[in-house]
Amino acid sequence: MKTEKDKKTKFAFYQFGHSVMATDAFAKNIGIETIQIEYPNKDTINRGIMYAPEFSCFPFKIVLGILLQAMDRGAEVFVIPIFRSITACQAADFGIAHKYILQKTGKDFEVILLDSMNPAAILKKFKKYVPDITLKKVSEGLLLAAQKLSLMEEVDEYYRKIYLSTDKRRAESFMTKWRKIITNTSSVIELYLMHNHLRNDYKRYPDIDMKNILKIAVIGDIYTLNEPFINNNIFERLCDLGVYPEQGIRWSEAFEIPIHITPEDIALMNETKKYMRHNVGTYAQDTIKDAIRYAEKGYDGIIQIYPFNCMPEITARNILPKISTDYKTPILYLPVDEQTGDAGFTTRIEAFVDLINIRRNKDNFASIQTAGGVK
Amino acid sequence: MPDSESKIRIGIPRALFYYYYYPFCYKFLTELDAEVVVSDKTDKDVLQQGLNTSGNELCLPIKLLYGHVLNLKDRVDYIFLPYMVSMEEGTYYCPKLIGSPDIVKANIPDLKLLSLDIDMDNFYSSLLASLKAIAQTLSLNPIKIYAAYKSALNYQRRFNRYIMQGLTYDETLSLIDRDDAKKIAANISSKENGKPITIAVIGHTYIFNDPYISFDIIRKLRERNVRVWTSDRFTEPQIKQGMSSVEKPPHWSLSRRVLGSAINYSGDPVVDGMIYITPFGCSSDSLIKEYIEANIPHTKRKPIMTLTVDEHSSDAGFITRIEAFLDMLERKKHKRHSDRMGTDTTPKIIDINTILSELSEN
Repeated sequence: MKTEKDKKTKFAFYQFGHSVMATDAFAKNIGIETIQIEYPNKDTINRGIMYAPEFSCFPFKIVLGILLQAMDRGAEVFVIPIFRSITACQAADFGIAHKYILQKTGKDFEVILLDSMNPAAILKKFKKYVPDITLKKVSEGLLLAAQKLSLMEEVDEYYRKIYLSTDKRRAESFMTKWRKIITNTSSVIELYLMHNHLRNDYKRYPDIDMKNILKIAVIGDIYTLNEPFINNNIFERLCDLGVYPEQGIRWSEAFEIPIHITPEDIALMNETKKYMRHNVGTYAQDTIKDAIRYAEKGYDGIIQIYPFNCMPEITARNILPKISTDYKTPILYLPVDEQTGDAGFTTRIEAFVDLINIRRNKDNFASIQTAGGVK
Repeated sequence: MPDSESKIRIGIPRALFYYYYYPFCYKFLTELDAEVVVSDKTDKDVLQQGLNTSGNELCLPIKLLYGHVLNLKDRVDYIFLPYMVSMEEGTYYCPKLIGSPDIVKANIPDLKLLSLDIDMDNFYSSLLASLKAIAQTLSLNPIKIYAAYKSALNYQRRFNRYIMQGLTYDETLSLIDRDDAKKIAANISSKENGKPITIAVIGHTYIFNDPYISFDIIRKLRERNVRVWTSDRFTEPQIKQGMSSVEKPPHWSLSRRVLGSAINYSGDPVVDGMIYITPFGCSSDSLIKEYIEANIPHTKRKPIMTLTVDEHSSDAGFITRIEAFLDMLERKKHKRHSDRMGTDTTPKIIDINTILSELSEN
């Protein structure tokens, strides 16, 4: 017979991109019960906007909407994975500020912010709800989640490459196949070894001609880059235009586990610090770093995509023009929010792609600059 | 000054951190034999210059910083712009403020900045490194810098004592170096104490202390026979004390000050109402109202008015709102007073019809 004490607390995780397999693996490992919630969509965003303060950042509104939905479905604890020390970003006030807003509607819940990859710190946060949690379970769960996310990121990259070298149908079947495999694997070692299989599988497809194709790096904060609904499916759209899109910040980097640091990384970091001396918030310094990295690599253009009123990204956005002139690389800035329209978005991307295409063929930077491609 | 030619001229923009740590910076730099130049007071030109050069989506205070830096640029050898990351472990300044030297540097060419790292997360390494860097730039002995740092700290403490008596930032600056400072301060506060209504102006100090941007709100209120207290009036421990009941205080130190002073003032029976002044589009301020609402119990709540300022707001609309707010406070106070006395002293509205009907009855 179930008593009040035996009743398990129901958790819900904030979802983005392919995160559902990672959070499921993590939850299963530490033994918590989760409730499936939807990815951000028009509905949840509209609900979030109803309650959120006017000038709060767009992620705040998204999370608020998702939270409302999670509570409707019976979740008691909401988990927001950030995996990073947040420093000055508004995300540090997530949860408590949401609580204050929703208190007025008579709802009560708790929020866990996973703001580091330190298993001991995470253990402490879950201890209250799961008494039999151990450090081993948490570390294993974290490793699983991290592996799955970075594997899926690789799949995403190959998907784009296959799409560009062959067609969309074959790319999709590749994606579906690997998605299934990665979801069903639940051993860390197998996942580690899977990177090799994945690479070998990709080699069966014709290689992409990296020299002649237009390359654009899409940079910004990791949630916007990973969630197709929020970033308006920018990677797909660029592929549609025949451009190879490179993703800026990667999960493997975001997890703050310095596995292999090369001298190039250190040089890059020093270069970054010339432009942004302190990390002003979660992923801002990475945005600058990625801009420099891909500009140095000779990418044709850079797109910064960021949520509206995100303060760290706005700070980065105001430094990027300098990088654009210093490295002679055009940058397009795309703030996204609930009012971002499909048509306007596509127009801007198409115009940008046209510009860098002309620039590559004529190799005349000055004419582009006067055309307004760069600030 | 005879030797002003040989001195290094260092400019301090009259924006953002000027309103927190100017006394410290001033003392620190003058002790190092530098000449300190402050940018002009904010006016139309400074603001316009800032608006013309600043980038997208920035908030008003940062746009103003641009204006002040441009104002100084050609007059000085260096511009002093510290990187204020955090003043206390676990709290931070807002991202745009932390990145403000970087933003300014990236957008205004040929700028010579003199920077200082204030980061409590690794305080000693960052401060010492940047002090050393300053010594190198000014070609000074690092030991001298330490002495200057000490005396600057004392100067700032003395300054804070005055500002806590209810003086404005500019008033305190003008009297701090005088011998009869104490007397003048006492004089001002005694004059203010006699006023019937007290209003607490809360918000960021770089907004309400800047007469141009805040439409001189403090003077306007004082002219209308109101005693004005601001969020500058509390020491750090007092702010912390006020926030002791808050479940999880905001992690932005400037927001903490707003919230802490709002809670402290709401517990103060002398304060009649609060005016919360915030720049347009301030992301850190957007959540603070929720914090204030949630953390001040209903019984303690004071009337609070939010005034949003930006480069387009106008003087007239501002005055109307202030006057309406004051009228409301006065009526409230009057009502409370008459309730206690047991008599109704509110003036009766004279209606011609009632007078006529009374006459006809007689």
